[in-house]
Amino acid sequence: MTANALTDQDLDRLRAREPALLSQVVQDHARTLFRAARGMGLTDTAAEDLVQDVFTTFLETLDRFEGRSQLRTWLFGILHRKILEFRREQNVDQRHDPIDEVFESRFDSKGRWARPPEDLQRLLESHQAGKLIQACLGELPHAQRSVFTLREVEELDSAEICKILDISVTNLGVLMHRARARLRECLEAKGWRR
Amino acid sequence: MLSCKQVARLLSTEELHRASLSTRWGVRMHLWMCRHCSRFAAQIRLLGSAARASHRTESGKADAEAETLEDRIIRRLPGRR
Repeated sequence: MTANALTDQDLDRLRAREPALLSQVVQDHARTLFRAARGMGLTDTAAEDLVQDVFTTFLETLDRFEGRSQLRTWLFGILHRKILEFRREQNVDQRHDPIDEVFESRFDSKGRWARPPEDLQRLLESHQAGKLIQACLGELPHAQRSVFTLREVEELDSAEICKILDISVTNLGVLMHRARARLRECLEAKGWRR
Repeated sequence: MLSCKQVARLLSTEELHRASLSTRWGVRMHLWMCRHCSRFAAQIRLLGSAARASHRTESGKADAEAETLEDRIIRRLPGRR
């Protein structure tokens, strides 16, 4: 069995809780889920607990898994719901965000750059780049951080992220835009100006 | 003619992928001519690559923890002792 593709035969074996196949699923996905949970801002301990919970829920709900979505999508969906429960944040706030005004303030009334973007090329060349980007990621609101991590770090496509987070593609765009605007402002504020 | 703000928003929201052919062509032309917007486009790529690079470094440290986590989960699977 590959990490993502499931044959009907695999599905039958999964539903029969065949130990070797279940172990394979854990080996294929636990590390990615753990990394993603940490990427979304959870501590090591919280991420570990949550990933264990994900597999417990996976076993409990396995009979409802029809193989229509990829196994990875199904597991990430469970992880996302666990994280929401963990944070007791049931809603993704799409309404007002002050970062929108910051973005607007960078342009004049005709939509031309009033405050052009800084050259962040040095970001990649500095040995502090990792720490700075992690610090800025840590300042993102949870929903923005989740979307940015799944898109840019885990490199999932938009359709899969929308399915996992149960959001529309428009909401995904808004969250990505706000995450990027915040990261840019944060990095510039931390000294990436010329 | 698209404004810089429209171009920046299309890039940042990734709506460009779903935009009409004429809009995509308009953005491409704009990026050829506007150094600020082409820097903005580069920033978006840089943010992604910097986050991935940083995550890879962090992941190296996390992999050892993930391995013991895998073992713990596998031990608790049905049919295992």
